[in-house]
Amino acid sequence: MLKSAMALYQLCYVSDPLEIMNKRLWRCFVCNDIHFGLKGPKVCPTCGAKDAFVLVDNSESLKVIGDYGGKIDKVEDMIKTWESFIEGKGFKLNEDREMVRTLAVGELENMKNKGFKYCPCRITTGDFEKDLNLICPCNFLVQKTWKEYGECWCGLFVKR
Amino acid sequence: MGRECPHCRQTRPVVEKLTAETGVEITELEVWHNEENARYMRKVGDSISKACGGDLGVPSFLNERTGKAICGRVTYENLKKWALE
Repeated sequence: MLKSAMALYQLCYVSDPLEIMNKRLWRCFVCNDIHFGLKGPKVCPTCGAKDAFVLVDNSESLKVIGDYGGKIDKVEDMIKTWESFIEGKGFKLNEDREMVRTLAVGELENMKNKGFKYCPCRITTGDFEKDLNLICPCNFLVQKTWKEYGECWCGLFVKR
Repeated sequence: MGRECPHCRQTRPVVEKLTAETGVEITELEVWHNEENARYMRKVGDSISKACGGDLGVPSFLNERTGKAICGRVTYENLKKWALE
């Protein structure tokens, strides 16, 4: 049985804090993919089944995920995750590898202390939903620094 | 400032140059690992978040005399202008 936890990835892209309140959990009845969103994907990204997502209870979905999904709790794992994220996209990781490592260390510190891999160059407000927008990668394509300098706020991602 | 923020590290020499050359006093507050400093930043956060483009970010500079804030990467000239205006 293939299981995936897409919830955190989805949370990074919430721009309207009210939107998250309307999101629900959906389970692919073929392969048990879990999706968190306003509706389930038309085509399951894992098994390719069409119209296979059905609403699922929160606690039930967490049981489906269980201990699967893996951990990203080491600097090297963080960097691998980012390298995978940039593949085929119009941006890349900053070429200053020391800087990239510093940011990875900072995000892991934030994970340990605050429960999320918040950007070390942003400050949490204490408002849970607002702070979801500070989880790395954030929606940097709309940021002023991206438009002006071709970099996300912290400089981790830069235009190719 | 944030301990793991690369721009904060890069900004430090600029701040040191400004204080050495002008005598302006700049107090550095670490806000990721010091919750008291973070609370202070949130308290005075309106002008800072505007300067940061909507969210609180580091490095940020708040001029207590003028109330003006600047945020993010900063040049020596911009920092000097902010400090002395």
